[in-house]
Amino acid sequence: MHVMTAHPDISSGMISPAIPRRIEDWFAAQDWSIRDYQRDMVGQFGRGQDTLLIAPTGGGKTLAGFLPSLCDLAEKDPNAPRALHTLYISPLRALTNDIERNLMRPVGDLDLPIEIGVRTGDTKSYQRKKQQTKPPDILLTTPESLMLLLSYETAPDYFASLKCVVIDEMHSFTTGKRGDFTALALARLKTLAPDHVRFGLSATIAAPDKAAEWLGPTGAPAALIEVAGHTPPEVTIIKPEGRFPLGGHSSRFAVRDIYKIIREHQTTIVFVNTRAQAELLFQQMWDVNDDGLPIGVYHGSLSRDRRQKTESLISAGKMRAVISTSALEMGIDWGNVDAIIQVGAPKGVSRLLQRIGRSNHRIDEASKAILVPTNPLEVVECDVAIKAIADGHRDGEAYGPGAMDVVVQYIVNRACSGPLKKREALTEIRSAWPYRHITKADFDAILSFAVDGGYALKSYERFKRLKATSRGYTIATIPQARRHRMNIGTIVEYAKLKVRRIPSPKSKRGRVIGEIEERFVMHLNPGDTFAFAGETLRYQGIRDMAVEAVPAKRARPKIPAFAGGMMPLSSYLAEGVRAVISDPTRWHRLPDQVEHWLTLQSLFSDLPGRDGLLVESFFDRDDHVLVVHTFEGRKVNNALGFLLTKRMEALRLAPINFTITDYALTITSLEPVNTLTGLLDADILETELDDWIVNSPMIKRSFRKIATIAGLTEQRLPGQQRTMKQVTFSTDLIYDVLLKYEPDHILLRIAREEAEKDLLDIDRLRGFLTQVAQTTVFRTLPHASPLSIPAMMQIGKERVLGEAEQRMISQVGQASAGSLQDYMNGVGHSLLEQVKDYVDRRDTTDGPARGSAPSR
Amino acid sequence: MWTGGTQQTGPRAVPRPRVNPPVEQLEFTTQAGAIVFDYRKGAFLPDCETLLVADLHFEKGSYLQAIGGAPLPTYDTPDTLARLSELMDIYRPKHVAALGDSFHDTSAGDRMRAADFEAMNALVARVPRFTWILGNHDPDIPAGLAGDQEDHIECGAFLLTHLPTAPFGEVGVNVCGHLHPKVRIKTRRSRLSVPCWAASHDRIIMPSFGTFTGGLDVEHPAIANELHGARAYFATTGKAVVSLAG
Repeated sequence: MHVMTAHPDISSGMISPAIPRRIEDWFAAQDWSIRDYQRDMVGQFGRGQDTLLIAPTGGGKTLAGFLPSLCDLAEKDPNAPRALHTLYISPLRALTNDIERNLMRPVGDLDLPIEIGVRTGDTKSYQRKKQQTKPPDILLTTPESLMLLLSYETAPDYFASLKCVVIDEMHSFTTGKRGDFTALALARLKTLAPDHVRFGLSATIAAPDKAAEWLGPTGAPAALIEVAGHTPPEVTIIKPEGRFPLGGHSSRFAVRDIYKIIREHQTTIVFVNTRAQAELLFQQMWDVNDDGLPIGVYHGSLSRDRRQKTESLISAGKMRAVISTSALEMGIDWGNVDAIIQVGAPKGVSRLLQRIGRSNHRIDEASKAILVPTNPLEVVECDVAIKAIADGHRDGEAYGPGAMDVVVQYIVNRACSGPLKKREALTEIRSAWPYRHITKADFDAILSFAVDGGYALKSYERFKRLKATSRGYTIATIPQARRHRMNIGTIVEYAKLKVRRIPSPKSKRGRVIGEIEERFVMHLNPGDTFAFAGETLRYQGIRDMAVEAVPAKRARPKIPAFAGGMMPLSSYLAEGVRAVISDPTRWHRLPDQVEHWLTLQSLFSDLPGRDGLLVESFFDRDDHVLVVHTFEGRKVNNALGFLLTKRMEALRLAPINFTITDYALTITSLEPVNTLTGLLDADILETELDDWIVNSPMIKRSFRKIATIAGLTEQRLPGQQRTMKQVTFSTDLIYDVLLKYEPDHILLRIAREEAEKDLLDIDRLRGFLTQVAQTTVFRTLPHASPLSIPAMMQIGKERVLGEAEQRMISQVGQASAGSLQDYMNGVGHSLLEQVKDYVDRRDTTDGPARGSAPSR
Repeated sequence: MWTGGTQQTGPRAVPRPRVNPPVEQLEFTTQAGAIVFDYRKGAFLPDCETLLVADLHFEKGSYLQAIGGAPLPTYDTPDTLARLSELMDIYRPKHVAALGDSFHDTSAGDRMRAADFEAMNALVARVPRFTWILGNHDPDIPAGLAGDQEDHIECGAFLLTHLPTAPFGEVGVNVCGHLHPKVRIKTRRSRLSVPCWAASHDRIIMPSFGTFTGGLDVEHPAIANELHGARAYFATTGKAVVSLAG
């Protein structure tokens, strides 16, 4: 049964709010009854009480969010002039289309006088114009489109009539820059329409109290309605016919197993972690699709037409499976999905639950999910996640202070719509919960940057983005307003080119089927084939800023690299994985192969202790490799990577680069590490890092995003095609110049603070080092250990700008070594043989008992 | 038979190919004589004691402010001047030639700070001869600025121009700017793209010198088509010049 916990003001003994008769009747006609919490939301609306509703997927949560508006609008005077009543904010464009479809049903059935409009980046310009002159009663939008609407001079009138804001999938907003951005937009709406009510909707939130604080204006947390009592999901790890690969993230080994699951279910969503994986797995499924089942692919780089077509096919039950990235993760209500497959590591408990929630929207039946880990560490991670779900654990969200670069964008946005007074603006910003503690000094520095860059060195003819007038700051010129509007948002992307599919090499016309990253295209030569939108295309060339490609035979196409696939592992899962690996008594839950893998690790090298540190050193290909198995997450590994490579540089070990995973830090060097003495001592934290970090490529990548969000550079320049390649380059130049001449500039300060917050966790590293310093185990090995292979297969390296780089550049032109994949096929394969060998011997001779310490 | 724990050895010590230490300057002998490439992105012709820099793009920062609306820092002009001054201290040339596009646009002089203008004139006054070769961005140099203005200069068999131009005679070599070449360097474990000289037997394209200048890959037809026959690239990285076979 549904359990309701709530703040005292809405506890027991509430009077049922009035719901118009015809709406009650409509529910009855659908054979539905209005649930208590849906009714409560109507009551909360009547009381003007901001409310966060946490309810399981399939519980009618979205309807609960809209019910108060439907009730209110059903009673309105049909002759009253049309005015915006309800604003719905969704993190995904796809969701707005789906919600529109679902809302149209009661509105149409009841012939309610309600106009519904969708406003996203996909909305055509004539629709935008119409929405501007005749506002719909309910507008469905995304945060970026909302901010754009707020930038117009008409915004105060447009939003004055607002009665209700519904924020869907709220967990995706409460952390991160997009959440900060949304919080500022909400603060602005509160100024324009002080009496409206905010509703937040979410299925999974680890810290509901914090989320409620985020939702309400600062100092006035939203009320909380939590609905529990749904059937726990059935989550299992796949039992593949073959073996789990020892490293990497390829799902090839399980393609037939996945296909079998698809055949056994009505509709399956196969979630993968990156767009590239989606295309790759789709190609692989195609190879085994003996029955010709309708299987689709879905991700954010596909064109709107493609995405909408796939969406409608799924909702019509005409798709047996769709391979998708997180683009389908939220909200969309498809009753006929009866299985979820998660390929690759789940990365977080809440994320996994969110994905699982896509199946079986009937609240009283269990959702079903099958996890497909792609290496042994992922198997352990999946096992920990399954246990966490069963135990009701959720990942904690990190509620940090709001990002400062977002405030710059907000201030400029605000100045586009009309004069901005400093004191009012600061009050408004502070009313957004992430910015409740922003200081006057920081605000002044940010405003100064927004005005003219805020540099100590001024141009002779002073440049201005904002101009000061007696009524406040306004945008200086119309081109400045246009420039700002074209760059609204916090998602900084790599440059993309449209993909135009030409039916045959001779034809001139084709259809745009999506977008592809420019840096991938740079590696293509005419005639090369690549996988996109589920088919193999042959690259012809670039014309009119679009890649032209024709359908081709499917012969080993390249897979486009898409950015943004790296999802951070929750620290809860990271710690759980270490706990399992360090404790052989917990291995019995794992598949046999993984148990043997861990046994092999314990024999060949060692196991990391529960609170200890395992460090391995070996030679691989041309370099010496040091793997530090911290199991402490990316931030700690990143910070440790900087510290260790700095030490190694000082010791003339010539570090080349380091790679981090959630579990380990891998450093390659030209010289071997034979002892940790002098390297991993406790005093490593006293190493002067600042100089090292401010010159790292990592912080320059951060700066590029900050510079774009703060409007220093832009993704698109009006009337001028400018590629992202140039932007990347020039933000590096700007960074270098600022560092040289104005190291205290606000943007550099933001970049440093952000790097410390998001990329390094010095405090946690300090705790880790003092705790484990006594129990470090160092092994030098003849080659990579089983445990180090997943770490070595990781891509995305941090260069060390030191001696090694100069030495290697001097060697350019000498024979290059094989790829990591070749390595995997070689060493990885022989390791697999060893695992088999071990298993065989164990089976016949009853080899070493589980967990016994091998003699050394 | 493999067994745990019995075959463990330390990482092998592997002999590495002997590597020349990184050099700050590199002398390259052309059919027209010697030219020295400096990692600071300037070149020196020893025979005529001439220091070459190309594509200074003074006031690009303020241009992007004024035209692009970007609130960029405008330290590029003083920084470019300071770096040119450093090169002049090192080479003590009799002649400095800026190979065109020294000013980002024709209004650059109007936007320049008085202090930078003075510093520029002081720099010109430090050498017996300072030549502004005119480029497509700067058909005129700002009024009141010292130094000669030329379309091209000949230093022995070297023909100094902004745009690629056919050299005179059988052994002539054209040194030009305009194209901002960059070269991609792939080491075993990392990839870089750095400014470089792009050379064939009769042409050397200079890297751009200006602090806010970007670059174009040497594989791009705009550069590749200007080089004939065997090519060589001289990459500027960190604190060294590295010679790469084309």
